[in-house]
Amino acid sequence: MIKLPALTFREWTGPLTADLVREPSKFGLGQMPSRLLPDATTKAICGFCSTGCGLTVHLKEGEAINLTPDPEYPVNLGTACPKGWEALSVLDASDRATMPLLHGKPVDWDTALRFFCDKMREIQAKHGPEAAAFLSTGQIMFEEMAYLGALAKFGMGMIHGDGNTRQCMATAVAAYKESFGFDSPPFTYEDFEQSDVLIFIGANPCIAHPIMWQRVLKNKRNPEIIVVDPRSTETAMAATQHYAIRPKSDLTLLYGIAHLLIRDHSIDEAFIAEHTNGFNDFADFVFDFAPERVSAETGLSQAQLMLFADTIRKGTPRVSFWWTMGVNQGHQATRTAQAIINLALMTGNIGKPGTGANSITGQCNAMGSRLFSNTTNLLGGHDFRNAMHREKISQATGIPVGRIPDRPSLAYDQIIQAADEGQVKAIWFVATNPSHSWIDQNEMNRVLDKLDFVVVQDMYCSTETAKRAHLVLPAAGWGEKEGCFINSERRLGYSPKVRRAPGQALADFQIFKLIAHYWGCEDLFQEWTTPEAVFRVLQRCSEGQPCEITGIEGYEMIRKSGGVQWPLTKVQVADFQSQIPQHRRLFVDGRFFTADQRANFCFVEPEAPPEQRSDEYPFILLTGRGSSAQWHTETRTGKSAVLSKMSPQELMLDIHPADADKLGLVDGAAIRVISRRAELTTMVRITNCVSEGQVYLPMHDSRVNQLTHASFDPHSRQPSYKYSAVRLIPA
Amino acid sequence: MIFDSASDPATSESSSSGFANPKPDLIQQALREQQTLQTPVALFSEEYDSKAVRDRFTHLIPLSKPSLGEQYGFEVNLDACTGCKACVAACHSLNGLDDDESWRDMGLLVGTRLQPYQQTVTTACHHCAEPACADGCPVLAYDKDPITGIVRHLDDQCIGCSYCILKCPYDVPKFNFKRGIVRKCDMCQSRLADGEAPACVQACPNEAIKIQVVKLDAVPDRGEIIPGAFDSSYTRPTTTYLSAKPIPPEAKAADAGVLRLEHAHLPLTVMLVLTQMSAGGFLINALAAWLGAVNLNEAGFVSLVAFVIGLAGIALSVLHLGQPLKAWRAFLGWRKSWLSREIIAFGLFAKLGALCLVAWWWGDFSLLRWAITLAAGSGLLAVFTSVMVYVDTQRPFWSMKLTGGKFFGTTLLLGTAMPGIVWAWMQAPVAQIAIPAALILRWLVSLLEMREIQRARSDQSSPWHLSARILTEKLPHLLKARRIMLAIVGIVLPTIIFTQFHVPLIFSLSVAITLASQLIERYYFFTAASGSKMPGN
Repeated sequence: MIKLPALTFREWTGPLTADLVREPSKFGLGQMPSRLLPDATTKAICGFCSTGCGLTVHLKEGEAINLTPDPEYPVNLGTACPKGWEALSVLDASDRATMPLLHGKPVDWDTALRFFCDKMREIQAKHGPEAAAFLSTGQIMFEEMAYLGALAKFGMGMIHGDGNTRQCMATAVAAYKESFGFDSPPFTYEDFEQSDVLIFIGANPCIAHPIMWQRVLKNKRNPEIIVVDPRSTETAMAATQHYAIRPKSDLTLLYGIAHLLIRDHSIDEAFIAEHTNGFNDFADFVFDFAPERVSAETGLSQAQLMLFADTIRKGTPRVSFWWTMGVNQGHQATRTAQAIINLALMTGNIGKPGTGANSITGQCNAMGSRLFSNTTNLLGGHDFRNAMHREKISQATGIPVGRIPDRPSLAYDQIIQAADEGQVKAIWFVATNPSHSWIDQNEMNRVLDKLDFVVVQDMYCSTETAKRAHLVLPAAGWGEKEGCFINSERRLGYSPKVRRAPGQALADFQIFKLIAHYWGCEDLFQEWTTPEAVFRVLQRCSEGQPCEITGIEGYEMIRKSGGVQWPLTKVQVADFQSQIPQHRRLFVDGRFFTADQRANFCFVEPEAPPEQRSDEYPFILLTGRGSSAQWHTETRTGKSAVLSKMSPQELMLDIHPADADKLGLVDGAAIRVISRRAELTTMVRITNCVSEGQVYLPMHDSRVNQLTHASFDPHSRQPSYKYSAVRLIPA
Repeated sequence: MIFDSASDPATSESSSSGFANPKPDLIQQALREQQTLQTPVALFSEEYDSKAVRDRFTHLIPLSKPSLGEQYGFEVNLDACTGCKACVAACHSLNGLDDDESWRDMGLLVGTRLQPYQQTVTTACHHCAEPACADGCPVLAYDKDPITGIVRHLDDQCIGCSYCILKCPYDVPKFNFKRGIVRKCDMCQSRLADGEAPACVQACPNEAIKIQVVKLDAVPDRGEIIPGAFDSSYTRPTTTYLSAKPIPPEAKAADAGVLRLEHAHLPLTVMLVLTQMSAGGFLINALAAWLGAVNLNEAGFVSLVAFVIGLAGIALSVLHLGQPLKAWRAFLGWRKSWLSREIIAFGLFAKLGALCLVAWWWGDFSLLRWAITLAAGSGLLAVFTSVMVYVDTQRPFWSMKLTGGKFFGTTLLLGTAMPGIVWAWMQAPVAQIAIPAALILRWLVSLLEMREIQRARSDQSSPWHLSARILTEKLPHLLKARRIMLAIVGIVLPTIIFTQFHVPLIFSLSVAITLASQLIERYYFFTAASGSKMPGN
C-alpha cells in the first residue's frame, strides 16, 4: 500500500477508491462491487432455518462469490435475514474439518472408514445391534438423511437413530399425528397475509423467523396480532395484544379460551359435527376451566381472557394460530400444541385462507427429517411396526423386507439414557452439536465420555461434540453439495453445489456412499447414486401417503417452479395442468388423514412443571433465541465476523427491576446464576421485558444448557428447555 | 471443471497400504466429484431474468434529483423495523466491505422501569447538512455533493488521521486498519444515480428504510433525531425517524450505561505532552531572558532541549497516521479544520525553534531573546490550536475549560520543570526559582484536576459524568498511580531537595515522574473521552 502519493491536491480516484467502486451487473442484480461482478447466477435455498428462503447465488467461473435474496421466490420475495446473507462466508472458516481425525490426528479416508466399520462391527458383535446408534440433524438435505437412515438401519443393522429435530419439532409431529392422522402442518405462508387475527403462542418471529414476520407486516387486512409469551419480546412489542402469562401456564390458558368460546357459543358446530371426533368429551373437560381459575393460574385478568376469546370470535373464519419453541419445548408440549389445534378445529379456523393451527418449524430441513430420516418413522412417514408398510418400502427401495426393523427407534433422550446404562456403546453424530445444545449438558457430556466410540461427522472440527469424538469425519457444508430441503409450509426447495469443499471434506452423501461400500452393503444401494436418484426412490416411498411427491418431475421442476409444496401427486399434476398453484394449504375439504378422516380433540389435565421454584432456587430461568444473527450453537454463525458483530458481545441475564433492587444489582453487574446442576457467572441487564421472579438467558452461550433441567414431554420426548429453577447471587 | 491433478487433494494422499483393491479409487472418485462444480450454471443463468433491482424499489427512492436547497436523506419507519439486521448484512455484502465492516448498525432503545418499551433503531451516516467530519478533515477528504448532499469520503485522499471519527457525534466514520484509512457510508450514491435503491433499502424485509428528498431549511437544527442522539445543532443530520407510536421521552439507548474505553491514540498522547513541554520551555526561557535571569548559554541550552523535545513530539504524531506519505496535504483544510491549523502552527513553531538555535550559534543574546520570544509565541498559539482540535469535537470531556486547563497547565508545569532541570545541571542561579515554581505548579494543576473529576463523578447532571465514571470505575488504577506520583513528586522529593542532596538528579527524577504522570493524564484524556453515538445494544 506504500506508494508515493499523487502530486495533486485532491485524489478523487485511486486504488483505495477503486476497492469500493460499484458497476452495473447482469441478471437483474443492479450494481455490484467491481470485484464481485458475477458471470452467472443460480438459485439456492438457505440452509439455516425452516423459513426456506430462496437465494440468488452469484457465480464467477462456476463458483459462488456472493449472494442476494431471490426476488422471485414465493417464500421470501427478495429478502433474507442476516444469516442468509452470510451463508457463504461461514464456509471459509479456518476451523473447517479438512481431514478425517482419528483420536485427534489426521488420517486418510481409507483409514478412517476402515476404522469406522471395524469399530462399529466390533461393538455390534459384542453387544448386539442395539449397541450402535446414530443421531442426525435437521440441517442436511433430506436425500442425505434418507441415505443415512437407510444405511444405518437397513445396511448396518442399527435399530436406534434419532435427530436433533427431537429438540425442536418432535412435539408438532406428535400433536399433528394424533390430531390430524399425519404430521401435516396445514398452512402456506400466504396465510400470514390473509388472516384477520394472528395468534402467536410461544413464538418470537421478529427475531427467530424475521422473513415470516415480513409476511405478517404485508397483511393489508389490519389484523389483530396476539402474542402469548411470558416475556415482552420484540414480537410482543409489535403485537396489538400481548398476554404475558406465567411460564408454562399456556395449557391452562388455551383450555380457558376454549371454555369461553364454548360458553359463548362462538364455535362452528357444523364443522365440529362433520369433521371431528371427541368434541363433547373435550367440552366437558374444559368446563372446569372457568375464567376465575384460569385467571388465577395464568396471571391474566378475566377481562383479558374475555378479550382474547372475543378477538377469536370476531376474527373467525380468518383466525390463524402459530406456535413454535415456547410450546414445543414444554413438559406437556404435545397436549399444548393440541390445545391450539383444538381451538382451530372448534372454531372451524382450518382449511380456509388465513386460518390454521400452524407449527412454525425450526431447522431448514426439519420437515425433511420428520418424513424421510428413517428414524422414528419408516421412510415417507410410515410405521416400522406395520408389516404392510415394511413390505411397501421394501418394494419401493428394493431393500429386502427382512432388513427393515419391525420397531421404531428409541427417542434421543432414551438413546442417551441407554448409553448411560451401558446398552448403547457407540453413537454416530451427524451435523449436530449436543455437547452444547442438549438439555442438562453436563449430564450429556458425562454420558458421551462413557461411550466406547463417538463419531462426529461435521463441517467443523471445533464443535464441543467433535472435541469429544474418537473419529471426526470432515463434511462438506451447505453450498458445497446438492439436494433438497422441506420448509415449514411443506415446500421442497433445491439447493445446488456452488463451492468446493476445503481439503478432503466430503458431502455427507458421499460419506454415506463410501461407508456403504466399506461396510459391504453397497449392493442394497445400487440405485442410490446421486441425491436426485435418492429423491426418486423417496418419491416411490411417498406414494399413497399424505406427503406424496410423485407428481414432481425432478430437481429441474423444483428449481423452476419456486419450490413445490407436498403433496403433489400425479393426479394433482393432471388436474392443475400446466400451472401448479404456488400456495396450497391442507384440509380445504375438511377431510383429515385419520382413518375416519376426522380430526381428534386431544387433551389432558395441566400439571405443574417438574422442577418447581423453591426458597433455595426462587427464580424461573427462561431460555430462547438471542438475536436474528445467531443460529443455535453458533457453530456456523459464529464464524461470520459480520454476524458476530450483530450479536451481543457478552452473555446477559435479563432480570426485572424489582428483583434487581432486591438483590442490589445495577445494570451490568456481575451475577452468579445457579441451578441444581451447574452455575455460571454473567452480566445482568435490568429490563421489565421479563416479569418478576423470572430471568432470561439466550441459549447460544454454551454454558446455558448446563443449567437447564432435563424433563421431557411424555408423547414427543422433546426436552423442556423453558423452565428451570435458579438462584441468583451477586458476584 | 475438474481441478487439475496437481491440486487434486486425492492424488496427494499417501496410499500407505498399497491397495490393489478398488477402494482408494472410490475415495479418489468421491474427492474428485466433491471438487467438481457440476451445477448446470449456464442453463440457470439464461432462464434467470428476474425483475431488475431498478424496478423493484422505485417506491422507496425519490423519482427525481433534489433541487436547489434540497438533498437526499434516509427516512426510517421505526414501526416497521423489527431489528432483523438484514440491512447491516446487506450493506456489508452488496458493497463488498471487509470482514466485519458494515456502514449500517442496529441499536436498541429501551424504556424505563415503569414503562416497558423496546425499539430497534437502524442507523447509518446521516449525511448531515453541516457535516462535522468534513469540517474537521485536514486534507479535504470529504466531499458533500452539491446536488445530492451525500457526504462522500475520498478514500485515496484520506491520510488516516481519524479526526473525523472524533468529530462525528454519531460514530459513523470507521478506521480501516487494513488500509490505514477511514471508510463510511456513501448512501450507495452510484446506485441512486442509476435509479437503484441503496443496499440497506433493498434489504429491509419490511421496507422500513427509504431515501427521501429533504428541504435543507427543514433539516432540524436543534433537538435530537432520536432519544440518545447528539443535539442536531452541531451537524444538522438529515435522517428522519418516524413512528406512529410516540417514543417515550425517557427512552434511552440500551447501552447508555455502558462504560466504553475509547482509542488511546498513543502517538498523540505523547505528542501533546511533549509539544506542550517544548512550548512551555520556550515560554519560561523567554521570561527568564527578558528578566535577565539567564545568560546566552543558559537560554541557548534550554532552547536546544525544548527544540528537540518539540520536534520529537511533532515527529511522533506522524506515527498516528494511516497514510503518512500523504500528510503533506494537511494544510488544505485550514479554512475550517483546527487540525490543519494545528499542523500549520506546529510547522511554524518548529521553524522558529530552529531559529533560536541559529541565534545561539550566532552568539547574540538579544537576537536569541527575540527568537525565543517568537518561538514561545508560536508555541502558545500551537498549544491553543491543539486545545481547539479537541474542543471543536463538542465532547463534554473535551470542553474548553477542561482541555484548556489541562493543555496550558501542562505547558506551564512541564515548561517550568524542563528548563529547571537544564539550569540545575548547569548550576544556574535561576534554577533556585524554577524548581520551587515547578513544584507549586505541580500541586496546583493536579489538585484542580482531581477536584473536577470528583465533582463530575458525584454530579449526575455533569456533562462529563460518564467520563468521570469511566475514570473512576474503568481506570481507577491510573488515578491511583497519579496520586502516588503526586505524593512522591509533591512531598518526598521536595523534602530531599530541601536537604540539598544532589538537587539536579533528584529534581530530574521528580520531573521524569511528573512527565509520566502527565502522559497518564493524556492517555485517559483520550480513553475516557466517551464520544456520543447512536443508540447501540
